[in-house]
Amino acid sequence: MIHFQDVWFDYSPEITPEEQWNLRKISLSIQPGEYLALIGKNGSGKSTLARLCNGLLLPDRGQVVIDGHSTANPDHIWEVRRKVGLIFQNPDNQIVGATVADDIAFGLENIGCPTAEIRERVDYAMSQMGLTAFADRSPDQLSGGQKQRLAIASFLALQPQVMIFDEATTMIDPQGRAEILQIIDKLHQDGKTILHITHSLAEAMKAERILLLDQGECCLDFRSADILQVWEPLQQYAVDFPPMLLVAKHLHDWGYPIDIKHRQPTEMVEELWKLHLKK
Amino acid sequence: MIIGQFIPGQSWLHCLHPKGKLIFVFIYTFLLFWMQDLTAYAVLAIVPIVGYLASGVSIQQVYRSVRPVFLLAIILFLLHLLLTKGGRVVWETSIYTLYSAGLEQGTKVVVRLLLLVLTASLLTLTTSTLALTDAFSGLLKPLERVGVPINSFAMMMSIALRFIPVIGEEMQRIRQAQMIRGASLQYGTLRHRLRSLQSMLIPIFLSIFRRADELAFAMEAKCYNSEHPRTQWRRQSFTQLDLWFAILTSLLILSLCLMRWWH
Repeated sequence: MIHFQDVWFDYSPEITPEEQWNLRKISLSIQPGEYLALIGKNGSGKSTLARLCNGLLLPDRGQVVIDGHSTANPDHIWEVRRKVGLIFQNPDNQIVGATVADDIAFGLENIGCPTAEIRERVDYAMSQMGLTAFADRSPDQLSGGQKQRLAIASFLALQPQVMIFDEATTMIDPQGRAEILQIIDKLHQDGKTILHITHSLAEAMKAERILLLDQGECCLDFRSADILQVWEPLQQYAVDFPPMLLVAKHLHDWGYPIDIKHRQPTEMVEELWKLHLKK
Repeated sequence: MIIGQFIPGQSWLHCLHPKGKLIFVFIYTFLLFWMQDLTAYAVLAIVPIVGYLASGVSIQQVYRSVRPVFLLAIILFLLHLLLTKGGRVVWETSIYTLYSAGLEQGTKVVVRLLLLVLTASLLTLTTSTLALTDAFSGLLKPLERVGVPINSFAMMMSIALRFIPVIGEEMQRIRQAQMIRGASLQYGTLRHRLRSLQSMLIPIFLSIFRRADELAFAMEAKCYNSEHPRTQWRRQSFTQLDLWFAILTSLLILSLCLMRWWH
């Protein structure tokens, strides 16, 4: 679905020495329907990578191929953008419409969708994101989580195959964040390819595969179920390990193998009881 | 003009075609300046009165929409009292004489201004900004033939309107942040206050640029291309209601024309 072939990128490539470019020798493949998380510090190049995925930025070297189309080809760029939805961190800065429905319709108007179909797709996107009741509300009247759902809905209406969430959960409250994470899960189940960019390993663990970016280079690429195998290198990158994961790790070290997929405290307690009773 | 205050609703005023409403406001403005006597203004006053009753907008909203022009209205009124001469002498002291013409002109100017603002706000209160910009760009469409990028202008306008509350909030936040640091617009010498103003304006502009940058990315991500033709999903068609509105408007124009000839 998304292929990076030895991609190099910098915002000012003429004056920056090669070894300090924003992104260096990135090669990666994301399969259709895959759920991938991208973690890394501020300034590690996560957002830049996201923007390369739909041709908002073009690689200086190498190429980015989306579903067979290179983003560098101006004839295919609109095709690429229709396939790849990109949700940003700050919901306020990506809402264009004066009302919820208008904002969802914006992208559809851009692609020249006929009026009747716009109506249908807007209704569908609103019902999917639970925004139907807010159709004629102004975006200013929405909460942070609702705004972010609106941002997702406006891409959903474009029927993309890939949805990229660029720290889309950072600026909203815990309840809104939980909602967004559920939505991401659901979109994944519906067959969308997901790229979730986040600071939080807890959020990233929901993905099938995790990619760690550090100073513009792709340093780790592992399946979230195999996280214990990359524990040592992961520690070098100042990642915030979620408590349940730490518990699992310690149990594992003490010779009590425990399914790393159990991330909820209740599940963990159950698992501990099982271990206890076995003894 | 009072903008960005759309109050959603279902009244017939909301349902009128935005282009029709826009044209009406233009005609109304013209009539206000064309008619010179107070009886005509009484007739014209029917429009905002009926409009506000129909729109279901609260009195507070009406007040809020005219409040910003009160000061201007008072100044204009006083200027006429001071400067316009003619007619009878109403009141006389050794340094100042109040003429009836001044009183009359002053009243007319104030009435005219208030009617204009009331009617124009009625338009913005009952028409969403998006519909309004669509109507504007629709009416200006012929200019596209001579190379004026009407669609881009319309987009710019609707985005500007959309971001007024966002930037207002931001300004509030920056003002408070700078006040904590001792910048004040209320105290100190003029020079000090100007410096404070600067300390607020620069972060505001920076933040606006940053927002604009991100918004541009978001718009492009949603396939926006000013060179591509766009569809408009809220393309409203003219209904019977608009026909009645047009007939009533014509009657208003006609009656005012007759009044003018009468005099």
